[in-house]
Amino acid sequence: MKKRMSVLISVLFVFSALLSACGGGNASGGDNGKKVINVALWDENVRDTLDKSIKIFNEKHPDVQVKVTYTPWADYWTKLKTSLAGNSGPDVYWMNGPNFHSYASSGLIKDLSPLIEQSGLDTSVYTEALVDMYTYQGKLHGLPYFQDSVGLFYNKELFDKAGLPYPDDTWTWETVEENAAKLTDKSNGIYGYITPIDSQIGYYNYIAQAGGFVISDDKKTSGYDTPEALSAFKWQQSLIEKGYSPNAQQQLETKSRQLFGSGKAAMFPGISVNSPELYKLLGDKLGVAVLPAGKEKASIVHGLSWAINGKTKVEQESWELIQILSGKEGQELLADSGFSMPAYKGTEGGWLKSIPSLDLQVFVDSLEFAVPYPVSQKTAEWQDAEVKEIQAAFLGKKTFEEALKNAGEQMNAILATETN
Amino acid sequence: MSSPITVTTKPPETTAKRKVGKLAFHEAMWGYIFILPVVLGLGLFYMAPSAASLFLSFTSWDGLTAPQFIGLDNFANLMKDDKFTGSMLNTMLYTIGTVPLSVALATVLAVLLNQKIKGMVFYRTFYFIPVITMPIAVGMVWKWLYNSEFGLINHVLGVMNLPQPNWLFDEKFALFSIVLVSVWSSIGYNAVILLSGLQGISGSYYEAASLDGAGTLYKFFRITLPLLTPSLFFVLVMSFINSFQVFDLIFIMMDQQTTMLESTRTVVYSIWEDGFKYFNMGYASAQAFILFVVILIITMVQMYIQKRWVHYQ
Repeated sequence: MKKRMSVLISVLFVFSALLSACGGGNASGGDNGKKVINVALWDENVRDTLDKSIKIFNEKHPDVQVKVTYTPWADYWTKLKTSLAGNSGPDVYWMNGPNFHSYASSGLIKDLSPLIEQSGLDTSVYTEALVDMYTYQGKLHGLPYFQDSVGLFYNKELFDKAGLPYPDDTWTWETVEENAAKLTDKSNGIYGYITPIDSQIGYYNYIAQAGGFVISDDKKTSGYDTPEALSAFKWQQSLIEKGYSPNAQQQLETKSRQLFGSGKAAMFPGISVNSPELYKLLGDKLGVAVLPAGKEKASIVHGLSWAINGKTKVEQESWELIQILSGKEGQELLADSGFSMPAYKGTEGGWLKSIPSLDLQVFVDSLEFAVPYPVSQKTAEWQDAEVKEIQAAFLGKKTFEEALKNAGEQMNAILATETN
Repeated sequence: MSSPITVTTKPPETTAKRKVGKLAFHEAMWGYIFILPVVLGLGLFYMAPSAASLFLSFTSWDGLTAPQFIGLDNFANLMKDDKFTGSMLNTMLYTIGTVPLSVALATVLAVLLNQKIKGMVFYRTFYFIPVITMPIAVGMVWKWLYNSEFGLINHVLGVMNLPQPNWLFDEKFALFSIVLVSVWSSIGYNAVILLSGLQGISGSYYEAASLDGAGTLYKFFRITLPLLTPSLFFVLVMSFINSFQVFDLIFIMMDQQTTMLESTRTVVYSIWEDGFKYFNMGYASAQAFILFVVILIITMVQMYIQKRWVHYQ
């Protein structure tokens, strides 16, 4: 009976979308005839910061009421899309990279460029990779809020035991391999290095470090079927074959982060937002350095932005609000809360101090060679195709040559159907 | 009846009909009023969405812009789509694995639970627990039990010096492992239905058989099983329908992006992926419609062959 629900739910969803479309109209007049801005996001951990920022906004705009709705991640995108389709969506909402192009190309996000021009906002204060990520057809569609980059976490205890110096910014792929060999201790089940079979902490970085790309700047071509990409995967494969890194099957089953957190690996490339969790598990044993260089240095940067509903009736007020949230003051509040690295350059001071024993500055330094997380209109679709092929190759079911050729072909075919 | 009689009795009949007609109408009206809430609910939440879904299956719709009518393109593309045909095959394999095993074990369990021994209420509750446990919790716990390195199952196998397969992340075992979990979680429900069927069997049959010197097995196959067939039929039909619609276990136990899905993706999972991950609503609706037809055919076939094996007392 329960299982029958899943079919029903899909059917119900369609129907409710129709219903809400009929309902129409977004109530912009709130209690006491005040103007209302509806704000939507998923992470409740940011509630304090948000409340403080809204207070600042209300000091300037006492006549505007800001209503915030937190929807858990699992439901966030479905709810957002249906409500926007039904013209009842929030005025201001969180947007991430993989979804951005599909929303922007459907006109669900307001083009911010006229507003930016009108208020003379300087967008160069934000990390360039993020401004790129939220630019659609040459125009900024979202104001960056916070970001994360990838760094090399390491276990100081395991390095001390092996009598090796800690990783630093002079490291390259070769240094990683040399040290991983010395740190690997098969009898105790300790790996020298985890080369993630994941995209964001794994091969997206390696491909960029090898001088390749995942998606071309014009979002028309896949970079999988290139010698650069192949060399990145070959390197990963060699580390696994030599036994320095857990293999694909192990990583599929037990998340590499858990493995590193339990002290079973000496080095692990992780995202800045993993820091609190890893610190909780490893304490002062945890260290971090910038990602070792291949042909060049690269670190995948992703971040969230505030988007304004393309059909909002409170455009000016919404614009004022996101300028405060993503402005200097709001960004400092965010950094102080330790939630994540703010997107506004120079406001990260509070965040850097959030874990005193850990050199979080590494993640800020990594922004110098930041590579934006690859996205396009149908990100979810080509990512699934990509993962399927690459995992199969990691599991030894096909060669990387074949897998990358397939992944490239499928991705190109999907990119060709994109409408922007 | 011959025709002259009908002719002669016709006039009085119509007058009577008129009187009865008024009453019947009155009664019927109240009848309709009483079923109105259910009809409304059914119409609003079952019929209308089903019709909407059927309509959408002939369109291309991203959930935002107006649906574009594309005729049978979705269905034509589905036939060429390896993902969909693969998921159909997986669903069939899953059903073939789950239904017979679950029903057979449930029958045995129901017979065992039908005895008069101390603490029977406890046993009955015990076997029903998996049914009332949320599928999400079931999936999460089993995922850990199945873990090839740290899981309890492989630990026990290791102690006994048996091979320790990678239950969920080896394509040879993945679907089988999920089948085991769903058998485990559906036995209780099936057993309770069968148990109520068993309790409806009159004790006099067994008494008579005992007097004639029938053994336990003979009684089971000649009395219990035939008289249980109406319950078995119900359980079979429901199990088929449920297992064709399996989604939650796969959603919980598999990663959302993994090549392992190729050997475990079911039709409903594929519907979810196309509808809610890629927002190809039309394409997802077409799959839902095909699934509906497949289940309909299987259920009709079952209804048809029941005459041959189901005995109503």
